[in-house]
This record gives sequence, C-alpha cells and structure tokens, in this order.
Amino acid sequence: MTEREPHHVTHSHAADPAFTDPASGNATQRPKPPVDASMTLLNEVMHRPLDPGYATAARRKAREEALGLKPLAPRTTRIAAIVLAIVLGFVTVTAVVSLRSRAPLGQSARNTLIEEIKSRNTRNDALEASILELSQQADSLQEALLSHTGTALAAQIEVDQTRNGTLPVSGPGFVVTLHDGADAEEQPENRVQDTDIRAVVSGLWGAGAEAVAVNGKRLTATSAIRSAGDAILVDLTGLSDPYVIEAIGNPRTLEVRFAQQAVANQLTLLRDRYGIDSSTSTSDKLELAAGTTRSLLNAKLPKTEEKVSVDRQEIPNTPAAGTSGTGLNGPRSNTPAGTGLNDANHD
Amino acid sequence: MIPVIGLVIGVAAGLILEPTVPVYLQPYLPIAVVAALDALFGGLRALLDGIFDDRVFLVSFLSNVIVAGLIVFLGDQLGVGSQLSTGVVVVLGIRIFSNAAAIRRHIFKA
Repeated sequence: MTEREPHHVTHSHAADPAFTDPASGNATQRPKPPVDASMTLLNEVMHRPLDPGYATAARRKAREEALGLKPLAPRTTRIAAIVLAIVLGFVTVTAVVSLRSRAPLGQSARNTLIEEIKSRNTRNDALEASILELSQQADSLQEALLSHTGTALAAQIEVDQTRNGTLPVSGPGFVVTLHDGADAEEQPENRVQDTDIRAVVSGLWGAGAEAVAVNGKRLTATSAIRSAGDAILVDLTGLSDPYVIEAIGNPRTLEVRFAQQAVANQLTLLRDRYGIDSSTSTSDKLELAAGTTRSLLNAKLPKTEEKVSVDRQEIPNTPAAGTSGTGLNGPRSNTPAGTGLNDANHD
Repeated sequence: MIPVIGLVIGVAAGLILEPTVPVYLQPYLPIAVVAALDALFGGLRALLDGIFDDRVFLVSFLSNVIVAGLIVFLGDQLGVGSQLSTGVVVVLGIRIFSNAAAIRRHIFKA
C-alpha cells in the first residue's frame, strides 16, 4: 500500500505531510516522539495516511518543469490509465450496489406480506358488503313474489322469521340483568358464567317469550351461548359485564311465569353464594335487532299436481295463497292464533 | 484529470448495467469497498494539497483493492479471516479519518 522507504527517512520533512501541509493551522505542534523500529506500523498508519507517491510525483514534476521538459505521457500509458480508471470505477460501483441490495430483502418480504394483508382485508370488507346487499335483494324479491300470492304465506313466513330471530321486532317485554360479583377479577367463580345465562334464557323461553336478545345480540334458531377462556360468546361475539337479557312478550305473564321457573331459585343461589347480582324489570318498548344473516341450509323445488302455468294476468287476481294453482308449496302449518303476535309490532 | 473522467464513466456503467457479482467474490466485497474509499480520500486530499497525480491515484486505488482482497483471502485460507479483515478495516479506517481531517482543514480552514 505504501512505497518502501527506509524508516529512518520517515521524518524527512518533504515526505511527511504534517510538515509540508500548507494549510495546517497548527502553529504549535507537539514535538514528535522518538521513533524506533517497533513503531513503524503506528507511524505509517497515523502520520502517513497519504500515499507518499503523490509527494514524489509532485517533486518529479517540479524538477521537470524547472528543467524545461514537458512531461507528455506516451499515448499507450494514457489509454491504459483511462481503461484502468473505467474498470476500477465499474468494479467499485458493482461491489457497492451488490452489497446494498442484499440488506433490505427481509424488509421487502415483510412489506409484501403487510400489503397482502391489507388487500385481503379490503376484499373481505367488500365481500361482506356485497353479501348484505344481495341478501337484501333476495328479501325484497321474496316480498315482491309473496305479495302476488297472498298474505297467508307471507304471514307464515313472518311468524317463522320472528321465531328464528331473523326479523327485527319490538314491543313490550321483560328484562333480566346479571352483574358479576365483587372481586370478579381475582375470584373467577364470582363471574357470571355461560351456564347462568343459558339458564336465564331457557327460563324466559319457558315463560313464553317470543324473542330473546343478550346484550343486544338476538338469539336465533342456531345461536350458541358458550364461553371461550374468560369471555362469554354469543355466536362468536364476545360479551362483557353487565349482561342484559331482554325478552319480548306480555310483561306481566313473563314476570309471573319466570318467577315460577327453576332458574329463579338458581339466581337466588348465585346471589347468596357468589354475589352475582340479578335484577328484573318490565319495559313497554323493547327493540330487538335481527340475528345474523341466515344461511340457506335446505332448498327444495316446489312439487305441483298440475302443470305450472305462470299466467301473469291471473296472479294479481287470486287472493288466496297456498292453494293449488299457484304451484307454491310453502309451509302449510296452521298459523297459530293469539300467541302474542298481537304484541309484536309488524306491518 | 482524464482518469477521473474514466472513473466517472465506470461508475455510471456500473449503475446502469448492474451486473451480478459471482458468489466466490462476494466475501471480499466489503473490504474492497473500504479500500477503494481509502484511495479516494487519499486522492482527494492530494488534490487539495496540490500534489495530485493521476497515475499515482490509479495505482494506489488498484493496489489498495487488490492487496485488501489478497489479505482477506489469505486470512480465509489460514483460518483467521475475520481477525485479519478486522485489522485491515481498522488501518484503512484510521487512514480515512486522517485524510478526512486534512480535507476538513483545507475546506474550513479550521
């Protein structure tokens, strides 16, 4: 890396940049310590960072100018110098580029995954919105179809939907509220369990409720109340204290019949032993939202005795639905009368 | 000055073409870059000192890179690769710092 010069010449002033540096502002330089053979490396490294070839070449040029000779390098040397320069620049930049590109590979993989997660989430939201829209479309088409065939079938469907929780309903009803006991964090047995809520809900159905919701989540025909870890889940939605269980029905009847169910004793036991507070109240107006979107589990093509001829002019004229001639084989059970549907508000 | 233009042309060619470095050369890339940096700073200081010579610059550049690579290769063969490369990097780093300090004195007169 440096030209070989006998080290006792190290301190010759012409070669030592510290001495020949014209811009060195250090008027007071501390005296150089004595040099011996063992300090060659340190001296070479610290005091001669500049290749002494520069100084030598400078002296040579000065001498040649003094002598009047023009230093014209032969053509081949110059071309070789340029080629060498190009090669060196190329090699250095290649090394730098390849070293730089290896570092962020891990980062780019992570970024790719993050982008993918975001795009999948967006697609998820779009699909859910389209599910909602399509089910609303299906509902409106069904209504339009039913309005042609008469009201008995529509009424039956409405009863079924109220019972299975896919129709929002409102009306007077009965409310049971459960609170966790004191110190519920430290003592898990003082917390309300999913079995307690299930018992209350069963008691309400047994007392004649028409629609039940827990903390706003409507219970449908396929709802499950269970616990996962510390949380109570209704249909995959976590609930938290306090637990408000609403039931729509005749408030007086519900209150009286609920007190006669077995769950009433259980609630007293819970209060005495675990401090789980339960309270009941009646309400003139409860509004329960619809349960989660129903998924089609069974579908059957209608069977007809006579050939179906869809006569568009005739359909609005036939008031009776469910009779043969329209070809619809809807649920034929009798519409139960006076079951408290009078209380449920529906159009 | 002409070789410096050649250097710039080589740099541009490297950036545009972006060749891939063969695998057996990849361990020597970092030390080669540090050695090139040392030669560059030496050349810059010589330029500011007024004693720049293009031939000396090119030769020092080339010899720095080759000798640094050879030392690392020798170290790998002897089994002391990381220690030797640490030593080389330390020395080159000291030289770079000294030259940079001189350049700073030139530029800021401070």
